[in-house]
Amino acid sequence: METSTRRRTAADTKEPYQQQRQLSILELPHGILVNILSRLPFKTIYNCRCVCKAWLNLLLDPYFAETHFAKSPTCLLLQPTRNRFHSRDLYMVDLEIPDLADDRDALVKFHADFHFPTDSFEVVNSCNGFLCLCDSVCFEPYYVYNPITGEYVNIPDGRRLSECYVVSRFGVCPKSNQYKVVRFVGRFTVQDTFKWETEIYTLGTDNWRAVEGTFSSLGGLPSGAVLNGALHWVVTDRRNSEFISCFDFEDEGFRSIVPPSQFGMHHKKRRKWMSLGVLGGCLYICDFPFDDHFDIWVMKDYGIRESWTKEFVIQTPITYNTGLRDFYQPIRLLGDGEILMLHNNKALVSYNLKEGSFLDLDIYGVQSDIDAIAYNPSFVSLKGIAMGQNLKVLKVKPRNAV
Amino acid sequence: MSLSPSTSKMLSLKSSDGKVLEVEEHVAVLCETIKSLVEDGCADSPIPLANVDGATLGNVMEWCKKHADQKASADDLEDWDAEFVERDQGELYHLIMAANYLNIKGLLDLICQKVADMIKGKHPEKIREIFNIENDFTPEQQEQIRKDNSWAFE
Repeated sequence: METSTRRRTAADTKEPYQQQRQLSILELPHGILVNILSRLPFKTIYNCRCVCKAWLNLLLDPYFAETHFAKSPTCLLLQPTRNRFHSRDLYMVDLEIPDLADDRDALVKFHADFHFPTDSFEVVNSCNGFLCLCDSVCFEPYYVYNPITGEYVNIPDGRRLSECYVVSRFGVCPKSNQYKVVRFVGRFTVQDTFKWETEIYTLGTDNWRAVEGTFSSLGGLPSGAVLNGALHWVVTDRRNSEFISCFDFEDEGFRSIVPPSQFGMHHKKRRKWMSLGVLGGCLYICDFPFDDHFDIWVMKDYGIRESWTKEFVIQTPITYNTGLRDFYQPIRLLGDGEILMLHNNKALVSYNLKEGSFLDLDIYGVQSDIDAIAYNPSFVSLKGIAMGQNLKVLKVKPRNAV
Repeated sequence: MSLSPSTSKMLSLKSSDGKVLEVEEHVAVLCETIKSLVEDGCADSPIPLANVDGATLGNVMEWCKKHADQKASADDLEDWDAEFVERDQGELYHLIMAANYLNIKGLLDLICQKVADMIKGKHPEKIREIFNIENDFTPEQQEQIRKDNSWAFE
């Protein structure tokens, strides 16, 4: 029930209605107006900010941002690529729009005009509508950015280019609500062995901290998935008996996640072709046997081994001529029994479970190859999420139109 | 609380303008506000609804009656709802206020979605025109907001 009544409304007055008095939309209580406007697609919300002062204030209010985030469906975030070079533009795609190929309202474009020592950047991952951006050479995390509000914060000490290899992820702690970036920094030691160090940065603090605890294998980490305040990845080191490893953002410790009990030695041998992700709020593991299909196993109750289910079997067309196997990364479940996937890291396809067939997904204004992730856009300000006082929130000018 | 239609008793609802409506209890309890009164044994007869006028109350109960009908299929309800929301703005807002006051989530969602659909995809000038909203920005403010939200304009 809507209770927030900031405006004086007809309902506030003591006199009962005489006859049906003509009501205007501006007389509706604040909470109801928020309920209505939070249902709108992005471009229309920006339009509504320009309607009148009352609406502008309402749409910039944190209450609107929270209501909208709780309600808004998962969108897509695309980054155009050419020969692996990532563009500085980011596209957000509203998947609720029925005609994605022809409706210009489907796409909102953001020009992320940040300073990077390398010309281009990549999106590390997203968490509650905030993106973590890294350079595209060493993958060192540089910024946390909310494209919707244009706000960003600098991540300190991102200047290790060419010395090492970095894998990072951005996440939120479920209990403390702290936002953290974890980075695994790999470098050759004097003995010429490759050594990994783990460091963590809490948004709002000044420095990275070293994380204690060792782990032997990071193979599979670059395709790791963040869910429930933890980063998960497939352990690909043959000497390691672990299958799925995870790093907990809250207690900053490492744990194991048990794989499906049906997984045997043959699964273990092909760990390095497996990938993890999140579908419908659940962790999944994609198993690519050398065959005409691949399987998506879903852990329906997080942490419960028995809940792993072989949920989807995806029939894949065989590409005879190249001898190369196609790679598919499931991104989101669509209505009507379809799964949206990224194909060979460059194009969107939807797979129809009933018919067992793929369809290319065209989106208005997108011609090039793309990188894609699921994205929950948010009007929530970065100012509201940092624990410390030291968070300097900056703003990029939105100056785009598609 | 499960009340089958055959055993349902009647409740009297009194609108703000003094009209009394006789409604089957299993229909009226779709309003959470009325349901609480009935469950607490506080359902005086007639139940005074000081914030809902007679015409609106009639419309609300028409919706409740349809949605209390267990024979109605989901498709059937969807079609019926689509027709139900074909009203002028004034009526829609009265329905929203009533659904909010009587705490009927389904009806509130339905009408809020209808109003959102009227706004969807429209430009600021068109929105002001449809909803008869005055542009109270100064030209300078207008220009600034236009800039800040520039991607909204092609």
